[in-house]
Amino acid sequence: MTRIFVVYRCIVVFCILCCFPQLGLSGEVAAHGANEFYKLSATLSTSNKLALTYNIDPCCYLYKRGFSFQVLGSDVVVSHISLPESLRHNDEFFGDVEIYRGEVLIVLDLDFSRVVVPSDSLSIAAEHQGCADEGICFLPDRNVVRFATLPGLL
Amino acid sequence: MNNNGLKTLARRSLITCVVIGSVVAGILMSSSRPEIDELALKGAQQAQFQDLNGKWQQIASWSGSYRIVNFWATWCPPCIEEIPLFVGLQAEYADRNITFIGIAVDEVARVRGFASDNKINYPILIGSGDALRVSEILGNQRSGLPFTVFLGPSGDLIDMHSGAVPEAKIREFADKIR
Repeated sequence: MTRIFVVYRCIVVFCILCCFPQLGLSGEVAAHGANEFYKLSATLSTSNKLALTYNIDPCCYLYKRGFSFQVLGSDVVVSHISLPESLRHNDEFFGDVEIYRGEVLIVLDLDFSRVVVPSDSLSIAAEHQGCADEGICFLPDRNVVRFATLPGLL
Repeated sequence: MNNNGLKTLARRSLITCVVIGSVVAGILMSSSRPEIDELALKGAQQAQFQDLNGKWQQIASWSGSYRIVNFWATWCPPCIEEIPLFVGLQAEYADRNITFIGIAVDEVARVRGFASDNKINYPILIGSGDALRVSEILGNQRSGLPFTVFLGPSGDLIDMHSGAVPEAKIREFADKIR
């Protein structure tokens, strides 16, 4: 009796081990859209610096040339953009291009000197574009970062 | 083996069958093609896009022929990598009822220049976010490019591929039509 159960358990474990790798593979990719691969967070400091942090999924990368930033509906201007050191990537058609993987911290210097009508809020559009290593690329995507209250800044 | 032993064995066998059955069903369901609404499929093929001459066209404009519809963009390296293959196969399959259709998710001027430089010999339509949405209706779950669908003469969805299409897959599709 005990021997039958041992054999029987081995068969069950074998069947489950055969099935699980495929389960993990298909579930991971299908649920993701492009936004899931590039998560953005933002922090605004009192020294008028906006820190944008992109967390890039290990499957993917972002093009350095794909970044653009714009202040919306305000006289505040982006006076300087600090990008971290990029990685070299060879595209067969585009040649050597600069990309980012993992976590990317971008710092924008904001110039408030031209603001005529003070405001309590600030909205900034951040665009990015990237691809997945498996050979698909995503449309340029846009996030709008909004700060509802800016005590002492504007 | 006594009665209790047999009952326990039977119960465990039943539970095991249910567990394994669920796992196998999950695998089959997750790896099969996504469910696509037939009405939405037809609607997507009637979405209007301008061609390189500014004329409004739709995927359904080429009804009656087998269609290989490729969503692409000039800013997408894997997309432009496969264009020469499509150009070559369109010429090779000139005597077959197959039409390649490129739908560029891009700016008109860039597409026009690229099509001219690369001597694209099949219809090119141009869209933006609306074109991407059409691709999503046709099964582009990851909203990435390139994405290619294989349609029958009446618009039935035969196959789809995310990423650059292997040449063998297109040839296999074409060989069934001969």
